[in-house]
Amino acid sequence: MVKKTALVVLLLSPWVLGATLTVDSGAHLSLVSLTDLNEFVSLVNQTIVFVESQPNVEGAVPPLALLRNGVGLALGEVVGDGIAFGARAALGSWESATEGTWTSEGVEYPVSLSLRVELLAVEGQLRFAVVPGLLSLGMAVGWGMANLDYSCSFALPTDWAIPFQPPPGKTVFRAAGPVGEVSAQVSLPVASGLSFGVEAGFRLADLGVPKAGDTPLDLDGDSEGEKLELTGLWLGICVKLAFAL
Amino acid sequence: MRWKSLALIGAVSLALFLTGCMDKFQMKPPEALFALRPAEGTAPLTVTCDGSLSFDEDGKIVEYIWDFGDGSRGLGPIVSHTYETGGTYRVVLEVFDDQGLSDRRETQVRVDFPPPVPRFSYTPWRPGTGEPIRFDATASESPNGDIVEYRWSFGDGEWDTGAVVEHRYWYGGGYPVTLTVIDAAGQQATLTQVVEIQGGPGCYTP
Repeated sequence: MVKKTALVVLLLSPWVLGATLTVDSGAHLSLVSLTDLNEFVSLVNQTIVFVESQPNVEGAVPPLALLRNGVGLALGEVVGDGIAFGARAALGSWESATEGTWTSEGVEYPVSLSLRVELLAVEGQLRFAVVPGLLSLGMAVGWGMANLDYSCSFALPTDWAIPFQPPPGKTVFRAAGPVGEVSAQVSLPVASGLSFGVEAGFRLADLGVPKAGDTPLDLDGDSEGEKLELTGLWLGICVKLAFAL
Repeated sequence: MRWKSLALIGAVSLALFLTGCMDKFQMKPPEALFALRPAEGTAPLTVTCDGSLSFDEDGKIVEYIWDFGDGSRGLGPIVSHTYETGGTYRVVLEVFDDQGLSDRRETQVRVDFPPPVPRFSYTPWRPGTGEPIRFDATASESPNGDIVEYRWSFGDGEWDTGAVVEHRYWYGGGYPVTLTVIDAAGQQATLTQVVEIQGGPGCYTP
């Protein structure tokens, strides 16, 4: 093991020595598709509209927002000049929730539903300086792990039977799979080794159907699992620190 | 080297972007959703089916096809259907959008069989002790088909079965006679009439 490590260090040392270590961190706004989950959100919203159209139902439950926009953080490092290699970790979070109470014939029906998706992606990255110190392009591939926190209490105050009802309870579903990303970064040096910038990227993260134990995610009850598609664009700002090795 | 790397990153970027966006170029099917009222009850049961909850994100729904599970079908966003006999029926709504894509959703309606109607008469009208009394339940009927069983309880601890039975009372007094009928669907109903027995050594006490 020691010999192997020494060999790797020996092989990399001509490339690393004298190179630049760049550490960057950023905050992002992430836009994702989450097609299957958003279909579920639309079904819930249709049900809410139908219930509130009933003459004997009072109260309001706001509709769920589609799971599109989220926030994220990223931390990365690369070593090299011109072409740089390194690692990167990114976090993302998307959520939607609603809460309210319906009243029908003197009986209260509390409603609470929340969906929260969190992604952690750990990637190896390659960055290429198109205009050194100013514009760089990068790509990264790695492994992504996502959680869906689902919580629901949804009682229907109507004598209509609807063959769709969000399953009650609190469950955490988990999924994992390969992720890939491409990005462009524009930096503005503000001091020696310090620069601020903006970046934009596109992430491909189709993590399949998450599971809670052996139970696949099937919120709309159609026996076809809902996939966690966290594919989409992100935009953000970043801070970069560069050190000469 | 520099331009090769740039080309590589560009090609990977384009591939990732196109792969990720592929589903955006695909047309989305509609979502079938409906409500029923009532979803259970006793036959004949008229059910209102409201499919107007269905939606289509990138178009509009142009056709609603209902399968009521009893061999009949319906068209349109809101329809009514009457189930004449008991049973559990699968109701399916299939919707088509203007792009020809479809979706379906189903649920079940439980229709209970109505109970049979027990009826009986007896002769003679004012029986005496020891006199044979003929009980006749052939006037009983059921909307679910034939009545398959008649059970009699004569109120003196005795019982019998059959559409027409005979019984004697040995003491005078009033006896509650109960008829229970069971039809082909397993539904049952009871009817009790008090039969007054004239004369005899005294009122019968069970």
